[in-house]
Amino acid sequence: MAVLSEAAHRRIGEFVAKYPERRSALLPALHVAQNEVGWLTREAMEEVAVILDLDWDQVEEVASFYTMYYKQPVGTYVLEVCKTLPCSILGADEMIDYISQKLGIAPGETTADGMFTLFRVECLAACHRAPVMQVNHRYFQNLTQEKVDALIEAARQQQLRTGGVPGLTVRRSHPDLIETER
Amino acid sequence: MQDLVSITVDGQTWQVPKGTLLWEACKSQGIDIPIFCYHTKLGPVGACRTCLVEIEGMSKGPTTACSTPVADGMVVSTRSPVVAKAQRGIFDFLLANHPLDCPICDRGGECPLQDQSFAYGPGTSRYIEPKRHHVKPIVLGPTIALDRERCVLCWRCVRFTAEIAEDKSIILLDRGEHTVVGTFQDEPYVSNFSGNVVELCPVGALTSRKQRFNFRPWELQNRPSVCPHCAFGCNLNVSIRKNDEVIRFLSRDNPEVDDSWLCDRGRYDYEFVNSPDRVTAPMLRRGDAFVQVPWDEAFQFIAGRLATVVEESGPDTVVGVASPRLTNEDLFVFKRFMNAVVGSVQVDHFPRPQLELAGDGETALETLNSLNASISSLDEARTIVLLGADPSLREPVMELRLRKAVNKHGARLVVINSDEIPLTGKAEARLTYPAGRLADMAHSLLSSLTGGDAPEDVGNVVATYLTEGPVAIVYDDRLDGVTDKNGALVAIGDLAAALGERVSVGVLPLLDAANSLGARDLGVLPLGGWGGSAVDRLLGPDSQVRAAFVLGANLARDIPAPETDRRLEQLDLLVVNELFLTETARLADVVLPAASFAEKLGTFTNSERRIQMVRNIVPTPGVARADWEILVDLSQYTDRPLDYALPQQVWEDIRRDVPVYSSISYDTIPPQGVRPASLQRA
Amino acid sequence: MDRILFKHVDVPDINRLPVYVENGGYSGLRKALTEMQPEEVTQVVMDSGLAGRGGAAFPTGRKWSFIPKGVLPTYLAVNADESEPGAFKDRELMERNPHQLLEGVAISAYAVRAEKAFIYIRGEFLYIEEILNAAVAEAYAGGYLGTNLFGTATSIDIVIHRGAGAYICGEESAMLDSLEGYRGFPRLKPPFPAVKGAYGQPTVINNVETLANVSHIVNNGAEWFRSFGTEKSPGTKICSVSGPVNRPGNYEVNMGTPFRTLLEDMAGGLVEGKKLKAYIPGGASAPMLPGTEANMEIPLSYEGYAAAGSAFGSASFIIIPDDACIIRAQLRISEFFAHESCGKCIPCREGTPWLAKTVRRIENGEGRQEDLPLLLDICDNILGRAFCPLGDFATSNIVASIKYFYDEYEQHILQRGCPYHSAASAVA
Repeated sequence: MAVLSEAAHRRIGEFVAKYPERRSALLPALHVAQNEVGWLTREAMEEVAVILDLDWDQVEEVASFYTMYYKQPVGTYVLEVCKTLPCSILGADEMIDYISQKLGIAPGETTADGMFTLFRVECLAACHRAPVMQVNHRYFQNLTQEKVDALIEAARQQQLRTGGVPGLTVRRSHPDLIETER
Repeated sequence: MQDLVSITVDGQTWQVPKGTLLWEACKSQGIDIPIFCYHTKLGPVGACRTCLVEIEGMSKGPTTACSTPVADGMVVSTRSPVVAKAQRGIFDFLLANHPLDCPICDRGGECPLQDQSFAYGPGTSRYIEPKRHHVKPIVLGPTIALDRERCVLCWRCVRFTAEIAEDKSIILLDRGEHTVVGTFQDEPYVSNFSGNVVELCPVGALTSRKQRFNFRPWELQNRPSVCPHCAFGCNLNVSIRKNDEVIRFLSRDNPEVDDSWLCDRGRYDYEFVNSPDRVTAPMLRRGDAFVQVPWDEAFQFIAGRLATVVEESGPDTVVGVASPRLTNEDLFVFKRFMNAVVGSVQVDHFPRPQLELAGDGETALETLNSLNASISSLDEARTIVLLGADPSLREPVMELRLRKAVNKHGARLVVINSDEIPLTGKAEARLTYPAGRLADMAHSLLSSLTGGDAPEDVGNVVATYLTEGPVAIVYDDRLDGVTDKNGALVAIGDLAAALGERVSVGVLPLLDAANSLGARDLGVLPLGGWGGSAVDRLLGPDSQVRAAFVLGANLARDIPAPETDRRLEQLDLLVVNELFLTETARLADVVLPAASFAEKLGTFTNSERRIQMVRNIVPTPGVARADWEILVDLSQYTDRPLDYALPQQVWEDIRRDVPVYSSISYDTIPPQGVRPASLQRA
Repeated sequence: MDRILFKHVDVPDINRLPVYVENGGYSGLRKALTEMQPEEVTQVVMDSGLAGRGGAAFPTGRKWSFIPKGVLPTYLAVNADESEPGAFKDRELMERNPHQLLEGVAISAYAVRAEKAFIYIRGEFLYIEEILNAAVAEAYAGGYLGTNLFGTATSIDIVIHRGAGAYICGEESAMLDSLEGYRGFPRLKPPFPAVKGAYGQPTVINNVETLANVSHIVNNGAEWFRSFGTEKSPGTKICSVSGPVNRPGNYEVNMGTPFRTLLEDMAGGLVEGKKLKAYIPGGASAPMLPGTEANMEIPLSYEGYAAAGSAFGSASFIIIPDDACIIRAQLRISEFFAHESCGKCIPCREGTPWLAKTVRRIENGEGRQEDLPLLLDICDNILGRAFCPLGDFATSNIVASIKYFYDEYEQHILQRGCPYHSAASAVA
């Protein structure tokens, strides 16, 4: 059973065409698959393997190496807060504690409603705008408690607007949520 | 000639071939350098960092010996204070998270980590943090258990499955200190070659589920032998306990044959040696049951019956059928016993290809025989043609040699078969033919080669792949399912001969059993040669046969028909030499207890005609004896006794009788066997 | 202020092709392709003294000259895996002026006869991927990428390849493995990438900032470039400044400018109420220096920081204020390297978490006197023993922090806790 859409297949095909060797499209293909499925399920990895003419174990061997690929289900919004030195100096430790308490989950966990997953991550190359996090791999910088509150509230609202089908873990940033200042 | 360079290590200076890896150069000189990730057959990755040495003039500090090729004038220290400190440091890391559960670890006692830590590591660990924990053991597959806490992540197992067996199933998962070996989504690791990863593992992380907790390594002694399970002839170390129990098979690297690998079928099929079901004493039929009797009584009985049959019906009503799993010595004495003692020419070996060979078929066999190639010549082949042959089923380790020939030596593999085979994916070109129509395909190839008509795809393969040598042809001598066996063999022979006029050609047959080629070379064939069949004569509808000697061949099982059992039962005398009370043995009048390959001294001839020795490693159960000894003893009860006391004496007669073996003497067969001098060009 | 790379950064819409071209963009590429042989391009870059801006400072022109002649295809791979803690310069160069990079990449590809260049951006740079892809599309449409450029026989393609979260992929050979669709494991050298790199072919790997300089060098010449910076470190350098300063961000400086100018004049000094305790000049892998007056005067250059016992590296300045705990800071650094160790070699895989766990124990008040010599000895057992520089990097700040802030470690051990953080904030 195919789990990836035709569009995803097409997108992966475009990547394949860019490289001298098919296998080079593995990382981009996994991004495409994860965007569509939410995380790297067995089926998603198998399908990527078929598309790229790889063994399935070659796919998991690579997928498991990189931190951006999720090997477990994640929430609709994945909050990845930087904990590395420059952010830590500017209050990242406290910020993580704050978000953790606000969402009622420890880092690595997902809220019971499936909306938020919190991760502590290493340096995001945004040290001048510390503390910083990514939400669904979009930057949110110069974090304050107020900004975090607003973001979580907006996310909840947006989730209400789109209906939030249970079990559907498609993660897509709503334009409202993308900070204009990068 | 290889260029030699001069290197100096720890004050010793010697010459080694240019390009040799420093670690290998040191090893060949007896200089020990600890190592985990590097393995001679897997190549360097430089990951474990235990083989750090100091090389004069290298500013970067210690360097890994496993990944550094020697250079002329290189001066190396493997023992300097800097090296010793580096080694202590690495072992400190290696043991930091190791569970140190050596007392309950299968590897304890033969563990490179244990041995090398003792030699090079710090006495105590300074690591006081909590150790990493994993669920253990994990069932990795039907044959292998994994203990991730013991794993040092040398990734030999990963590289073996990815690069050697190419059934890539063991992988690295996760990253950094969380890295583990495992399988995709915990799928079982299933492979024909799984046992090799246990042997490659330098710690107790991968263990055999069959052998876990069965022994402690220090109880064991390893004895060299040869795998009895197919004609490829992989070399073994047989581990025995208390001198009388076979515990396991390990590989014994023969670069010319097995390249240090074993298949699971060979590796794990050893329990028969110590089976409680072995026949341990001669047995005579009394009605529906057997009773154990002394040798003397069994021989008297046989000699008496045999004399009566010969006297009444003539010697040709006595046939002998021997298994090609017996040694050359067994088979030679068997043939002599039948010919000289009984006076019958009706000898045969079984199983073997049942060919109805007319003259041209015999010629084809001779041609193919004369082109017999060495296994290692696959490494030099430009093209390897699998012609109706699937080594993966018949001689599994040949599959690994073929993969190596393609991957490391750039051979082009052409698979010509009626079905998909595991090596199809490795093929650069393939041709298919309708099931059974191998003869037609061989004809087409021949026709295309000699300028005749042939289908376009056949023509393309011939033009692209067969016009440039060396060409190696692997064919399946058994010709199972082939409709015109004789025609196929003739066509393959003609093809090889025609090809041989243009390019250098070598032929490797896939054969039935460990010593099929020996049986052939010794001429264990009936009157009429290949076209005759002592088995047909024995089992045929109008059989006149009254007595039979069957050595290790299980006719009743392999030719399943009510007629087979009936014929065997009707014989006036059926003598069966066997390890077990097989379907055939149950029908016998006398069952004689035979020695297994691990209980006798003798030789096998593998499919490249390499003569290799098996040895009496453990005592026979009860009063069992080697087949040749049984026959010599039995002959003492006749008026034409045979005079052999030692297998060496048998071999000397073989040398006299079989020209191709004449150059080989028992004392000079090296541990890794030898091919007859006349063949060594290939 | 002298600017090369950020000269046009404030021009509105400089990220759009027409604006870039209006401001002289792609004239360097035109000149290289229509007026110069590849060897001449290499020569002018060699003469300019441009050195790798990723951290290692290897002379760029020399690197190109290692590409063997006549072995085709060759590839150019651009290291945009900016992951060094404290570094965020390449991100801004790509975000603000993507065509400047593309032009440099195209010229450099021409110099090494590569028809295909890959820009390997770190996985988290999703928006950079969008910016670069838009710029690449514009460049193709404008005739600056693709086949038969400017009517010559030269063809150049640029592919944007996004990673997926792994610091090690900034190591050039690991980057190639990752590009080819493997785990990012550093490769055995030799063979070096210049001989056997991407897809087994000769490959040059350069940092974003390095290549962003190339069009300017081709346009203005080597002598012009050497008029910036010092004799040993010609040109400018983008310095990233982070921590509690008034104006954190990227600053393009003339090499040789004193650190004080960067910190106080450009970044506006520390925020009110804080004093400089220490700073790291070259990202987390460069040893920290205490905030002494002498260290304020170090000239911003490779040689300047080498002489001070640290490294200029990627010029990523992390400012550590007086109210920050050095052990906590070190813990974050050690955790980073433990997390990012690829796991291929034993000293790094086992040593980096050991360091982090030991520092954490000290920070949590469970340190022992013998932990300090232990930490130094673990470093000694990693340094120069690991497969790639990541292991070495993990040791540099342990050694530096113990050297300069021994008392603070001792205080943690003797007081059985952190004087800066309450017990409640004990760190996981």
